[in-house]
Amino acid sequence: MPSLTEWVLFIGSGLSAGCVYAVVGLGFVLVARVTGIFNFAQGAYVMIGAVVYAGERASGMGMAPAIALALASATAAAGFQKLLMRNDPSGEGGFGTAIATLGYSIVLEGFALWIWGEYPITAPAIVKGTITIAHAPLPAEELLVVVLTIVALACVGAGLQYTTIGKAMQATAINQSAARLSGISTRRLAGFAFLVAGLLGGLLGVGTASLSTVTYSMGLTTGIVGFIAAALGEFRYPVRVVVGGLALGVVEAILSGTVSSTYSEVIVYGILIVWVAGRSLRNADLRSWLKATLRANEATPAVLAETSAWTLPAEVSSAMNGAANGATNGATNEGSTPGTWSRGTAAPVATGPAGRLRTAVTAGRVLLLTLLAVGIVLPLVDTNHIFDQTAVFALLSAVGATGLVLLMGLGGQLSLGQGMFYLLGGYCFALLVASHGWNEWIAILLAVVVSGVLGLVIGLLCLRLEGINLALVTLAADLAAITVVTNFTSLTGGSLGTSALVNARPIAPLVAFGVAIGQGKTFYYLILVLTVLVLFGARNVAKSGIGRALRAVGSDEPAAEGIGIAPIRVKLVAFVASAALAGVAGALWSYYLLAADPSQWGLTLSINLIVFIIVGGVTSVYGGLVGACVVSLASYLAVSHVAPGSPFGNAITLFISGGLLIIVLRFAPTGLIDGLRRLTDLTRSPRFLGRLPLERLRRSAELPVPAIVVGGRPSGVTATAADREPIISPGPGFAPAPGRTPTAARQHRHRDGQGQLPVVTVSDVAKAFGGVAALSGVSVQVASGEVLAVIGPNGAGKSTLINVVSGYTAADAGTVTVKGRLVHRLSPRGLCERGVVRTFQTPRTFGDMTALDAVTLAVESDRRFGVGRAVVRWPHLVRRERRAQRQAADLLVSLDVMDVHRRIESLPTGQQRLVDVARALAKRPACLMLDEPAAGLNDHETVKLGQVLSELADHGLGILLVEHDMDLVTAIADRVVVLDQGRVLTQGRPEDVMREESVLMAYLGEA
Amino acid sequence: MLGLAAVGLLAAACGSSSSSSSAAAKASSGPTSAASSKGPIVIGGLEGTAAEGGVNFIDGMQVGVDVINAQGGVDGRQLKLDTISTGGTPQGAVAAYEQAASNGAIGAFLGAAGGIAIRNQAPTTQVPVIIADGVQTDFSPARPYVFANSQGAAFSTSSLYYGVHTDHMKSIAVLSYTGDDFSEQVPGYIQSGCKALGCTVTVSETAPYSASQAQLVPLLEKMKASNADGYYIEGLNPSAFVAAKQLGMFNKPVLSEQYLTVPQIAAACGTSCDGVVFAGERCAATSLLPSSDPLKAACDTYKQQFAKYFPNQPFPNFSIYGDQAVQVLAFAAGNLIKSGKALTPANINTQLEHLSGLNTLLGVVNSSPTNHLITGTFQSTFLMLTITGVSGGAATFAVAPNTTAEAGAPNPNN
Repeated sequence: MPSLTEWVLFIGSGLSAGCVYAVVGLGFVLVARVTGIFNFAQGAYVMIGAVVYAGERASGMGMAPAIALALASATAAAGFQKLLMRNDPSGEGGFGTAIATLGYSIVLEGFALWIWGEYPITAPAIVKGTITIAHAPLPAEELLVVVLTIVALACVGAGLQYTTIGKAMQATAINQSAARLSGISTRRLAGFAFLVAGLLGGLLGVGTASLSTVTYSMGLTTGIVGFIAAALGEFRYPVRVVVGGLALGVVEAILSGTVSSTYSEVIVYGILIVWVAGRSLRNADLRSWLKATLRANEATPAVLAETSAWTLPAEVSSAMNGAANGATNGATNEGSTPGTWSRGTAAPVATGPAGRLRTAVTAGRVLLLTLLAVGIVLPLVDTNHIFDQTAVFALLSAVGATGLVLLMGLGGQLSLGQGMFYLLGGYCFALLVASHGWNEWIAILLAVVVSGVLGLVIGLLCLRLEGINLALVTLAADLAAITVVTNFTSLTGGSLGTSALVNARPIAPLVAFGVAIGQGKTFYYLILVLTVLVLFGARNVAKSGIGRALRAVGSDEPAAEGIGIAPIRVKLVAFVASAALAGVAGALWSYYLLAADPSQWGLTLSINLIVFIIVGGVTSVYGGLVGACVVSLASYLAVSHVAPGSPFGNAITLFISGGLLIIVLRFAPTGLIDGLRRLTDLTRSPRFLGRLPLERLRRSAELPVPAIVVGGRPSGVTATAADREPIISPGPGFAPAPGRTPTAARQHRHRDGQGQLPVVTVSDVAKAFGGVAALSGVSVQVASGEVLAVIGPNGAGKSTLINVVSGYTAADAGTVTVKGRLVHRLSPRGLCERGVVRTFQTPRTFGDMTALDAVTLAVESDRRFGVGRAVVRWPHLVRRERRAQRQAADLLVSLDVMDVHRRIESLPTGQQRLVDVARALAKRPACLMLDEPAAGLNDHETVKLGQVLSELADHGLGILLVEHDMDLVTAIADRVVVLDQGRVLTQGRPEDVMREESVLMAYLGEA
Repeated sequence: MLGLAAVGLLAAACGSSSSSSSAAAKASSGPTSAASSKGPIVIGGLEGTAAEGGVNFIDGMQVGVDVINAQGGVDGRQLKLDTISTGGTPQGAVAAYEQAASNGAIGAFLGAAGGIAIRNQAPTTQVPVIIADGVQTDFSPARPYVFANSQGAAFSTSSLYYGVHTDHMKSIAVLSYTGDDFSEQVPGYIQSGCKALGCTVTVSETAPYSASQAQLVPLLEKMKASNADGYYIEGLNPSAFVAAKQLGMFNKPVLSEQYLTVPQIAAACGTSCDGVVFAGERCAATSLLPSSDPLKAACDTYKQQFAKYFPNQPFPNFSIYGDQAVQVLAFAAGNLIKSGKALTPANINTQLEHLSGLNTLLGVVNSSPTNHLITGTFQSTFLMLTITGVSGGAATFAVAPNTTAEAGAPNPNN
């Protein structure tokens, strides 16, 4: 048991170390709150302060000027960084910008290496001597550091509370847009935040220079631990950050002193992982999460169309199932004639959108073929070994980076631990072959399997995490893995690697079909073939259902779940695939170097992989390859040709990788591939874009007339014309059939006997948020073929009602049944399977997905997505996919959305809402719930929307409509429920409800 | 898909040959042609960062090459130093090594991190490489084409021997670091050294080599609390000595090794390193050597030559390893030229395995096919030193108490 003196020493030294973490964390929070940027260069400011102060003192400069210069340098570094960075207007801390700060940190490291070299430097203490507490001698300098930290926190806190600029910073932290509208210059504030963060870092650097081994590389590790401290304070609460940082330092010191210095880091990382993961679980419904996790791999039940009270009209049904008939309708080549819509092909290929698509596809193929040709030919031309090996490691990195693209670029999962899977794959291979004499190919296969399993474990651990928390946990796992491998000497050989193991055998060359593959050019071509196969598979995955599901989950998980996607399963698939790819790359890496040792796969590799995919383009499956090639080639040229034999080779490499990252993020934030795509997009001109008239499409496609038509009666419609008359008062562009009124339409539905069967029944539902009762004893019922409108003033509980019914919020009391079955606490996916689908107030764009892709995803989401099948794209699967695309296209066209290949985000708001409706309809719901669908629509669009909904109800769909547009409500609603302060005020026919005094009171506050 | 991949891999595996030697020969990418009989003799200098320093090794090589060329070269042929950057990474070191081989180097010297990766490659590349990372297993057991001019375990065990026999230590507490190939071996060296000398290791602590004083204090406190008779604090991180001094640990013997001869490390340590005893190269403290010591004159000459080529720089002691590597390779090349044999890496390798009585800055070299350590004995190359002060960015040394320069640094492995 440590003595009191020892405890004082542990705590004292821990506080000193913790102060550094705390102030770095404080800098993180300050910048993040005001600018939305997670600034990984914060640790570099400490490094700059320390090296400048120590360096100048070593050169003979006096203390005061050295301090001043150090502070000025760190502050200037931060200010210059701000000039390079953009604000993140969303305030959500986009990871691209965060990675750019990492690039800047790398560049600063390069400068420090260049100027001050690699040896440690130190400085005389600012405050000399020791202070003894309980016989424990504590350096006075450590107490200075603690005092500096307290002063820094006090100044920051007081500044934020009591100064105008501080209050402006707080306002900006809460809501940037509102702050801007209030006249606050957020740009200047952002600059100020960076400067303060730089000053804080420099201050700590100066204060700790005499206590540290000051080197150019100290910034990264300092930054990482500071980042952890900031995470402990949730990147929001300065006091918590400081307390967290201090606690980290003290815990680390106590663990080192009492348990193990070897594994103290691992224990700290483990605590962090448990804390972050546990906090996420605590915030979630644990029972639902467990249920969902266990059910993730269950087969999804078939859509319950046959049990639904709603039946599709025959024409729509045949259109949605049209692929079976389509093959016989004289298919033509895709895109061979402008405007042709060929059966058996994926989607309408129109001149405008498809022309642009064709150009982009062509440009991409040319780029890839060029890269492939260069890759094949160049090693034959250039016999430079450095180049050969640069190419080999670029390709090996590209393989793992491609996995990272699937995980991060498509799936939106920010992982900083990809190097860990290289490590595992490499060691697995080396140990099996060198220690146990396994066949090399079997060892590679097993390395892939083992890495995949670890990916599954990490994925399960990180399921509930997102954004920066996920980055934190994966980073901690990576660091922990390196520490374990380095110290588990008996198994891994420790720092010397597997070649140091007793009885280690040499690794024999791979032999494939009688051909020996050594470490020369043959190995390069093996890796080239592997890379091509990986890219081919990744491309297929991205184009397939699982790729669409990944993108949907990555960009909008709640909405994805709402259309039947299983986010947990999709994310796990991404983790496993990404890990497996890194595993095979690690195994081959190990083979190439003939052994595994921990220095090959450190944190630097994980960071480099991020750099590669950011430079190449994180949303393109080729981004990893392009980024790896560009960065590696640039470094090679600089070191080997521009500055050959330079002692600053390392510094040059740092400049290049960090600099490229910054430049790309500044000028081509979506990466080089997307930048190239934009340059070669020759058909961006508006005259090539535009909608094709429905008439021309239908005539050329020989399609049956879609039953649901908006915008007027198309020519050639013959059947049940009366059913297709627009119901809403005519807007510009069409004329209603004579004799039809809204009331008549509703009576028409009731006369046919529809609107009787209850689809969704909400009974006595209550929901409170904190002390506020959002819903209180609410009971409503939606019948099939009925439009039930829910209205009420703001804050009445309308959206909460939809959220409860659709499974996004759990009710505190009451029940919800769907077709007589209790669905209490069912997930949105479960409710989707039961036939309840919703749209959202803000149309869901699913990132950069096209309308066609989004609706296709909904059509096919009932099937289980498999990566294995997606990689190869078997013909029957392609045909099935094409059928789904045709169904999706039919739905979209029937809703008058013609630009099916356009990104949803680029469509007008009205069209976006119709895409949402199409996506919902693709699930063949029994009840469709719409949350303010008319918001932001003009009169014409509102009319069209009303016609669509009315037609749907006519055919038996139950609709729950939350709306503020009374004209729309009056025109199409069969019944209206009025909510006020979470309670049902009244309900009945629209014309009756609108006249009730209580309703007028609720809205207007007076009769 | 996984199944198909597995079948493919199995098919390839079934077609694989179990013979490694023939495959290795096929896969060899080592150079086979002799260096041109008239052109310069190329020596590869593989440089990059390393925890113990990188650039100075190559500076030493440059001095060696320039001095030999100024004296007429090797039998009339000039030496050419082909400096190739390793980037400080294992794969970079391998790439640089292979490139040196492709550039026609007869031998190479690694003055950076990456020794472990290079020695795995050496049997394939088949160009002799001299490694100075101080890892014992670089030369023991002897590996084809891999040589070391750095003594490995002796750095640590020599200090331990001094502590046991001169300071009468029966127990020792150890602090070493991760992130450096040599430093990570120190705990093992001390353990096996104590086993041979009859002492015990009370605690063995590790920390990152860039750890701050605050991070080192708990570890040092544990060492202090273990009541060992003395301490071994690995010299890579000067903060450890500062913290140890603060904790009053210098009331017992504190041992280290020759990192403290690096001017920057000694300067960073300052007065906190006063009294630390370590084994250092004789070249680091020529003023302490008797005039009869052959290394005195050689090292002084080298220092003057270094100052001529790199003025205004504190003498970097580790540069002697680079210079010595050049000396040895030039000597081997000279032997081949004199005997009319082809100047191939394979022949250089043979020469390096049969050195006898060669005077270098690192002592008199005697090597053999089973002994790839190409330095003199530890005792003749090193002596026990202690720092007495730092002045002008350089440390001042004195011979450690109770020993003499003539006695040199003991090596229990001898």
